Amino acid sequence: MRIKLHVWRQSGRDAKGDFETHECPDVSEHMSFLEMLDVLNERLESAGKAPIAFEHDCREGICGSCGFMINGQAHGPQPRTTVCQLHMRTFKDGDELTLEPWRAKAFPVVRDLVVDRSAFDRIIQAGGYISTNTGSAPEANSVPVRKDSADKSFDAAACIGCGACVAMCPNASASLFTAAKLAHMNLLPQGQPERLVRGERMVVAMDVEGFGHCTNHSDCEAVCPKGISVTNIAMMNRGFVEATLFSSPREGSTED
Amino acid sequence: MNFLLSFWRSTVGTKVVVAVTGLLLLGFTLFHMIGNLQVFSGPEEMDSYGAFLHKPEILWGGRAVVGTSMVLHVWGTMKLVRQTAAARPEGYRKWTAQASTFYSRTMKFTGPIVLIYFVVHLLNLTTGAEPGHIALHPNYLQTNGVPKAFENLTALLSNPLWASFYIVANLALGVHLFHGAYSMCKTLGLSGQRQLRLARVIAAALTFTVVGGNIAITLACVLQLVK
Ligand code: HEM
Ligand code: FES
Repeated sequence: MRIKLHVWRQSGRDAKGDFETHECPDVSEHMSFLEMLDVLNERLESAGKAPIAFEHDCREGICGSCGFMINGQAHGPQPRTTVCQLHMRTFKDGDELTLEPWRAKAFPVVRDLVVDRSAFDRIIQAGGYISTNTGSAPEANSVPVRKDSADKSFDAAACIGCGACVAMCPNASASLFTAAKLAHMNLLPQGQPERLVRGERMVVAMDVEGFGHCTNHSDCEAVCPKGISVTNIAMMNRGFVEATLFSSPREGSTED
Repeated sequence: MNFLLSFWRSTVGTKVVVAVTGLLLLGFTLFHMIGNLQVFSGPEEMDSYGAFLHKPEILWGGRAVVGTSMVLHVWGTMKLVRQTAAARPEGYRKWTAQASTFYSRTMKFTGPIVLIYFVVHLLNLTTGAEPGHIALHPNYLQTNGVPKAFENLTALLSNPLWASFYIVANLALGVHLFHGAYSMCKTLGLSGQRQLRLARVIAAALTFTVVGGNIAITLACVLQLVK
């Protein structure tokens, strides 16, 4: 099949970018989206042109490296699918696709379709961990976990940090990501001691990075390749109110 | 006080303030609409209800709650909207809505329309009762600072232009509430799937009640069904 691409090209962080049009005449429906770009890139390189930069690693939908907008949808049209797992049979012969990088102030474009998502790392550094003395791994069943908590925590832990939620959100909000990381830990017994402080610090970190606020559009949930639920955001909000009311000021302070 | 400041500074904290004040304002609009249904019972009923509302405790208590809520709500949303406008300096050439709706995406436009409605409404039917204040009204009547609620309302809304303004303003309020009344539940932490489905239904029902009631009153006045 034949696919026409309008791709955002930008040579560096501060460079001015623009769209470039490329024809892919010989696309097999069995190719993944990234394989189609690989073939296009080989052609570009042999013609002495710069290949289209895009991020990828595992190509099996688990690492969270890949991702860009395809016709205004994060990771393209197939629900619960990263772009590396998206196959060309999802499209029709003659389709015209616009490829754009994630757009957010907190996700500066590095090159073409690659953005810098280290803002997510800094949100994690603010509280997305459990402080514990290490040692040999504890017996798996020594700390009982309620089944429904375990399920909800596990669902939230499926977040691969790809950034599609931010990209799709009309407000460029990182609420779904942050809320997923919070739910992942806050629903488990191991996450309890730092629960309130964690919630407060990660919310503040998310604001500091310059993400927008959540207005409950739910566009994020719709494109999340792992189907993370927006109900996690409601839990984050509740935790933040609780932290303000109940955590001692010194604990909750972010100045330290 | 410090912890309240840092609460307000964070987007989640501001959102919670917007949601709580939105809830209070929703309660006000509902109460206000139900009260105004008295117009269907005639001048005596309506005016005695108006006089009841003009007991100083009720009048100033109500004004304090509604006024404070309005100020915090508008201030909070302005802060959030400004902050979020900066979060995506370069937009998309293509963007396809997934789950967001016309209602959710127009909050920042319907909000200011509701503010205009609120201010004009005060000028229409409230400010005239205060000594020396002007009213945006054809013939504002009052006795001893208590407005003649029935006459004032019917006189205003018998004008088709004013009636149209109130109908359009109420539709905007409806669009605002349809998303707002549901959104506020999530902002305030309601997270169960079943509870949220119920919240969706209740939010829609409240929106239709408030807006439907207000429009019914307006139509009754402009069509001279009550006079
Ligand atoms: C009777 C008047 C009003 C009522 C009942 C009302 C109600 C609400 C409710 C319930 C919400 C949802 C809060 C949430 O999502 O957590 C909301 C949000 C909002 N309101 Fe209002 N509102 C009123 C007036 C206004 C006015 C006058 C403005 C602006 C000038 C405004 C601007 C907004 C905006 C922009 C939002 C979205 C907030 C966000 O970003 O989440 N509203 N309103
Ligand atoms: S490349 Fe790892 S998730 Fe797509």
